[in-house]
Amino acid sequence: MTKRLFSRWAWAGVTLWGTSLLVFLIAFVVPADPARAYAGAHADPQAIEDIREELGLNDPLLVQYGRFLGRAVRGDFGRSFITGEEVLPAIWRRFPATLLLALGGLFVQLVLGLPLGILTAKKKDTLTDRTVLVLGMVALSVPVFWLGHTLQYRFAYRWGWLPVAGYGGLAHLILPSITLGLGGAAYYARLVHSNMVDVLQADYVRTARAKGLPESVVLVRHAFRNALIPVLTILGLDLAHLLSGVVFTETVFAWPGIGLLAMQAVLNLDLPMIMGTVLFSAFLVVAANIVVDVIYRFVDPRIGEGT
Amino acid sequence: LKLFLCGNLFLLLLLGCGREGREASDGQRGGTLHLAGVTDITTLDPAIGYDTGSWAYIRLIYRGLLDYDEGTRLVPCLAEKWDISPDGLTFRFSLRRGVRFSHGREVVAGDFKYALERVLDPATTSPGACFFWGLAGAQKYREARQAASRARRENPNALLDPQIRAAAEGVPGIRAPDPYTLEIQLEQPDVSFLNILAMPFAYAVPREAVEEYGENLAVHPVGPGPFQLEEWVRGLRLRLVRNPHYYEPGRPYLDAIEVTFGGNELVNIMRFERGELDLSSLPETDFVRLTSNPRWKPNLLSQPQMAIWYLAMNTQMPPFDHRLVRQAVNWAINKEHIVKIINGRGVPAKGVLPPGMPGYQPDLKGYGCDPERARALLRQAGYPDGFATKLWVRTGRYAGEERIAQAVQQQLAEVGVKVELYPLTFSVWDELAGQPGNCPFTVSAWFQDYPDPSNFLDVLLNGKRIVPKHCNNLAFYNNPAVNRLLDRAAAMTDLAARLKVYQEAERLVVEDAPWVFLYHPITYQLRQPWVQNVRLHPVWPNRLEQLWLKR
Repeated sequence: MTKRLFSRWAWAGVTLWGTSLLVFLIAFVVPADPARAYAGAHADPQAIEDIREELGLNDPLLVQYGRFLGRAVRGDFGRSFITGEEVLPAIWRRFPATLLLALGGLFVQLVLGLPLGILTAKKKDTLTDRTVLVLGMVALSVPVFWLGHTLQYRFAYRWGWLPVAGYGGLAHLILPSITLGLGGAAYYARLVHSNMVDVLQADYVRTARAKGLPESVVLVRHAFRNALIPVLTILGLDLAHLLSGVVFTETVFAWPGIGLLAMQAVLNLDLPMIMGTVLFSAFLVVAANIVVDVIYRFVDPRIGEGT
Repeated sequence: LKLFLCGNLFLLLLLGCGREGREASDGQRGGTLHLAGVTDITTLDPAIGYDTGSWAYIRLIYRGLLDYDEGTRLVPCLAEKWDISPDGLTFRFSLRRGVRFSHGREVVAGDFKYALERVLDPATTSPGACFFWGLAGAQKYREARQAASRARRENPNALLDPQIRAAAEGVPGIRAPDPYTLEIQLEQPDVSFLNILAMPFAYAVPREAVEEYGENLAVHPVGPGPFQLEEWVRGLRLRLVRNPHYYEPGRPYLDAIEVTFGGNELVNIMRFERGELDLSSLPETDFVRLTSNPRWKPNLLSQPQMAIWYLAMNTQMPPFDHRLVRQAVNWAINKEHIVKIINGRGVPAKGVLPPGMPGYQPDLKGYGCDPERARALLRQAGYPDGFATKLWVRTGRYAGEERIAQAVQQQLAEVGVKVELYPLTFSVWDELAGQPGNCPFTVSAWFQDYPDPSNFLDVLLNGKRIVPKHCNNLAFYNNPAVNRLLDRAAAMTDLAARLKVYQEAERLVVEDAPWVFLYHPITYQLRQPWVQNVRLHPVWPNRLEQLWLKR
């Protein structure tokens, strides 16, 4: 187990390094000049050259990448070309907002998705099942910006129940969380549904029912717990994805998170900030994979046997 | 005459509403103004900021030698008066006494000298550096600083060449003979340089603040302006409060300005309509609804922008190397229609210079819309069946540009010109369109840096400024007669005569038609009824120091 974990961490390091190299190369393949993006459309060519020199963009690619890597391992991702902010503190400053929104979204996904999954599995092929299925498809296919603006228009602008946008108390969190979580809830409902349908036909469920256990106990304790394992995998990756920032939801609701930061960085060709935000997301995904791997073993002791 | 009538009408209105008039000159003090921005501002460092968002707030915190009146005329600000030497090379400014930075120290001439040298130092990476390269000795200073910083990078302990060290010490063309006198000397006469000195790049900056905060000056601004920074949570909100040391008695009226960032125009207009915001721009989607709403109509403000949207035709690439072809394309395009597409938020362009710009020629005929004439010109040019070309379109920067491109495509199809639209991300477009021989035909726009015709004609159309990369002359237009006129005008000190030369150059440009002159945009803003004395300005993004809240 320890050996396996160690090799996973080693792979994580390789993955991060590969990501950094890829992003770096892509940034240089794009036929656009960060110095020009910084200097503005009116800048004189010589002035742009001066800025390239100062930002170190005139050095060979390998030297630039080496410099980046050397600093990155010490936790220094440099400063944004555009705003002059230090990259890592800039990401950390936005992390609480992103974390809050991620938890909000996840909450909506689980609170709606899991019970609906159980319910539809129990009532398989009935009108309830079909209705939830159709509604779920709609929720999954609706674009986030449309859903977000529609909720804003109804609940905030017309009825004035909730704030239109912005970052603040719990009231600010409700609409973005729903926007973010609704599609996921539909997805989880489907996932739990199909797992539950399988599990409900398993021998141990039949045994539990034969013992005369109440149906609720059978559903939750025996069936649902076993249907949960695949959900857990997706959940870990989902959380990592949510924590690396959700561009559309953050944009629609003026939510000052990492997604918005990354979006701005890409539009401005802000190399250090692009590297920082992408590596941060990559790190979260890699770390989440490892954490899920560990949790898995506790939930299902069969996994990991023989390794 | 029209202007005169308007003026009188305005006077009558003022007399009619005496109470309003008195209050406007003596507004109520206090209150917090609530604003929202779509993106966070870039910086509050006057050497670095070079976008409307940053300028809007830098101008509230810092101040310069000169400012503009309600229009484009330069007026004293921290300089009480100035004079220009007869040879047009030296400007001498007498500074206002008793002006203090927000940390309490008095502003002296050395602060301007320091600020300008800081902008010129390549290590500052100021996007405005090139505006000041005309200062006497500026190029030498720039090179010496660059050499010194390179030498230090290679070997931190090396002794610098004494000549480089001396040249890196300061710019000889910026002198502060006493604390209240600043002398600026140029290499060549340039009356537009006063406009450059009014740009935020030239605002006074205290050396001790730069030494204390270094690169973080962007978030720790120290200036003599009407407001000072209280809090700036990046990406979230910005709060400015009254600067207790501000020199204009009784100003500003507002206690504080609070800006929240993020979201988009759609969200901000909803917040505005709910009364959460005091001022708002108008999103394109809601423009017609809001401008026709009797509730908001009286609170709508508009201001023609000193800008132009145009289509650049590459005069070095066939078929646009043929003047008749370029004229034909101009005649084929209906500018009135294009303005309609953008909800009427602009005026059709007849030439290069926007209305309100010194030297603007209202009697310029330009090109109307005459497809018949366009077809005749194409026949004459040897393209009786038209031709095919690619129109480069930038995406993701300016709303509406793609629709304009589609309209152009349809209109040109009517005269037999087949246009293929070629969409590019803004930064990629910016890199590729500025290289010769790349881009035959493109949508583009230009916003002034300062209100002087040279900032349009010379920067965008002087053939001598064609460079192999990042060229601003997107039509690669090179008419020696125009170049000569532009060079002559640049060195002239007689303002009226100088404008005449620019006008002559503009007439030649219009005749040669390197661009399709599309339109000059108009900017709109909405205010809440309690927000008083809001006036939009042709140069500045706002003048919030004049504004007050009625309770």
